[in-house]
Amino acid sequence: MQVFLTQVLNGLQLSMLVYLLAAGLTLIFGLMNILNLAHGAFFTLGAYCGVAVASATGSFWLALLLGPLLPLVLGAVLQSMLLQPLAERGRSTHLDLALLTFGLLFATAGAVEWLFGSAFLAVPTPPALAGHVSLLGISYPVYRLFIIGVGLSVAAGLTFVFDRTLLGATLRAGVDDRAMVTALGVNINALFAAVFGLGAALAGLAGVIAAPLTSVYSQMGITIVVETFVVVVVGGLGNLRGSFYASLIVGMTNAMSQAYLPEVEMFAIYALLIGVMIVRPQGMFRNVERVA
Amino acid sequence: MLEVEDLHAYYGDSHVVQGVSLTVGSRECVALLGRNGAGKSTTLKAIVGLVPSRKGKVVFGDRRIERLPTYRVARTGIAYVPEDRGIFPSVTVDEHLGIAVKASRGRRSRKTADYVYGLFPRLAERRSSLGGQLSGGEQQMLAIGRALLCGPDLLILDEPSEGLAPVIVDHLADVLELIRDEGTPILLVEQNYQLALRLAQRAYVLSQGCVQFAGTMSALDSDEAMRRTYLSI
Repeated sequence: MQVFLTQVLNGLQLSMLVYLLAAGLTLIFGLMNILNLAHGAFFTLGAYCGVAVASATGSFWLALLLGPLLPLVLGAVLQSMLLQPLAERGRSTHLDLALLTFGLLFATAGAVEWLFGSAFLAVPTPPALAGHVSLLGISYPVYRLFIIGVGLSVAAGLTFVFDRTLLGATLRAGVDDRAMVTALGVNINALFAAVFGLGAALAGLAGVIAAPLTSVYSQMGITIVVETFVVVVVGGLGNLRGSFYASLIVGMTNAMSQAYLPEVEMFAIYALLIGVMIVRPQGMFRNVERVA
Repeated sequence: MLEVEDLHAYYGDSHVVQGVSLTVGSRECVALLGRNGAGKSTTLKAIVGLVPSRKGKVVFGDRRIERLPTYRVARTGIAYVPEDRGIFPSVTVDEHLGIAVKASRGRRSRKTADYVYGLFPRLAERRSSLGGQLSGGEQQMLAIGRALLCGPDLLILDEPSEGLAPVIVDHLADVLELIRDEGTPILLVEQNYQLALRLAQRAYVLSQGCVQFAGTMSALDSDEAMRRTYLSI
């Protein structure tokens, strides 16, 4: 029972980390129809910015604040200076963009290795979040609960904006019918760059908060982008709410297989992915209201 | 108001619009008629920039707009209602109108959602429904209402009556008449000849991407040969 509870919390923590990446990725796909494999690079960059700020200032909180800034700017620049002009010239098939962003993912890994070396770096857990708490009979690290809290807050915030505000309505409209949104006078390219930047910033935030937990290394973004893609496909491409539930499923599958069926851990989520692709290729959580 | 001169546009590889010229004056409703595939919808899309024009000139007010991206065309004051109505399935009626009001910020007309609910009381009852849950008639009312909230100096409508019951077409016609009489110019593509006859003062007839007739609606109505050849009426 204690093992089970610990694994539930571990699964939840992993889910929230992956959700921070998946939320941006699914919106980028839904709005811009871009399979952005470079999304993992923003995770890496966030983590390394976090390392740099934390070691320079000694403050984790400053790292948390500043870490996502570089991904934010680079994301917006990547969309508006590179991907958008390519799309306008007709070079925007999924293969073109997948190859380009895949290249950027590896280029980022190479660049941070050149700058920071290939050693595994660490960010100390901030003192305020160090230690363990007793929870339902188990002792659990406070920092992991913090990650769960951040993930749930971001999910609640994004859901509110997406479902209840005019900006969210404009984003939903953009997913439904991009051309019509422009015909209403909305500068969709500016909106795309903003969403791309915001998605990259969330990935960067995930990188900073993952840093004290896992070590920081140049390939870290490549590993997590695969899990993120599983989440985005299982949740339904472009479906923000679906990505949240899919994050939970993937996180839990990972944590539970680790504890109870370690021999299948490596491919448990891929089995899930294949199952979903066969049974519901549009994703498990296609928006019901859209069927009407 | 709107002047289109020698407009050429392609749909894929086919040369769909082959040198169309037309004008819409202020306070005027102009119909663009012709059979399916004559190039009417593509002409409208080329005017608003959803299909690139390869050649020709589009002047609105005193601005050249044929090279502007669609959102800039919209901001010059052209509101467009596409043939498929362009309703967003996962956006509520209220939000559709909200997006339009926000997009029109800074333009002279400052109408609100209540203006549209006054014109179409049916929409007021469905204000929290999603676009995907609306009937065809409600979608068309919403599409026109949304276009009006953009504060248009020109309203471009692509077959507003398509697929709708006669009683709803009648209601739409009343509203469009009101809009026309209030002074908003309208460029209307329509297969429903009776509706065009009721609303438009002038007409252009297109066939294979070229203008075959340009004149008043009453001149077209008395030109039986023209109507039979190009409109099958």
